[in-house]
Amino acid sequence: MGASDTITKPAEETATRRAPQWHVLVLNDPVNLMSYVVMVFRRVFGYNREKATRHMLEVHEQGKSVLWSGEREKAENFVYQLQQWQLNARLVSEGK
Amino acid sequence: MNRITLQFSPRFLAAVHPLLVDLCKALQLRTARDFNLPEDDPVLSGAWFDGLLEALGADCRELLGLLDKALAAEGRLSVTAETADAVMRAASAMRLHLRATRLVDIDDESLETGAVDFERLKPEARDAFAAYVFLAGLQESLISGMQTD
Repeated sequence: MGASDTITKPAEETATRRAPQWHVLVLNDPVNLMSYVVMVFRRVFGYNREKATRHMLEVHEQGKSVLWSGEREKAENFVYQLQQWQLNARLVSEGK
Repeated sequence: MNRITLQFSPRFLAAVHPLLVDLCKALQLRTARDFNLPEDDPVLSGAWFDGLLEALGADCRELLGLLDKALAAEGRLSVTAETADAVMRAASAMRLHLRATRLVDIDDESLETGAVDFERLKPEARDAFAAYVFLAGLQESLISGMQTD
């Protein structure tokens, strides 16, 4: 399509409403074992070993990792499960 | 893993058992760490906290029940697939509580690497450190016993 064919749509047509994203954040703690954290990430999120290990190392080396992002209700459920497993998990809204 | 059986020294189990009972009692009243709860919804926040505390109490009782059985079985601790999760969660909570209350004088790196001079610890810290290491070993044994890949 050439430049002359470009159609500019009104703003209200092009703008899409997106529900705010919620992040499942896990912070580092010096107590829980690395193998335990990997196991919990695999259990809660269904991640494979490689992905779970990558997140665990990010938590360990950078102090935190975002494990999942999406709608609030699901994020709350993940945070609750992680807290049941005694991980330092937080629910963080987009932009915070 | 259908069942994993671990052998501990009965004498060692008997030595750490009273401390683990104390930890279980403490964790009936408060969670092992301060959790970040949804601040904008007090009802959800209250139910969230109560749910965590109730689940933690059940996990700790599960672990103590298994230890009681192990004491009666000459140190043989048997964990089924159904109870392994509760045992690992309880062990984690107890380790967090020990860290925050009885092992505060030991720096993080020493605790993580295990490079702690046991002989130089105060007697009460020795018991706590022994329990801390025991619980970590229990977790590691269960995790490796459950691995399928």
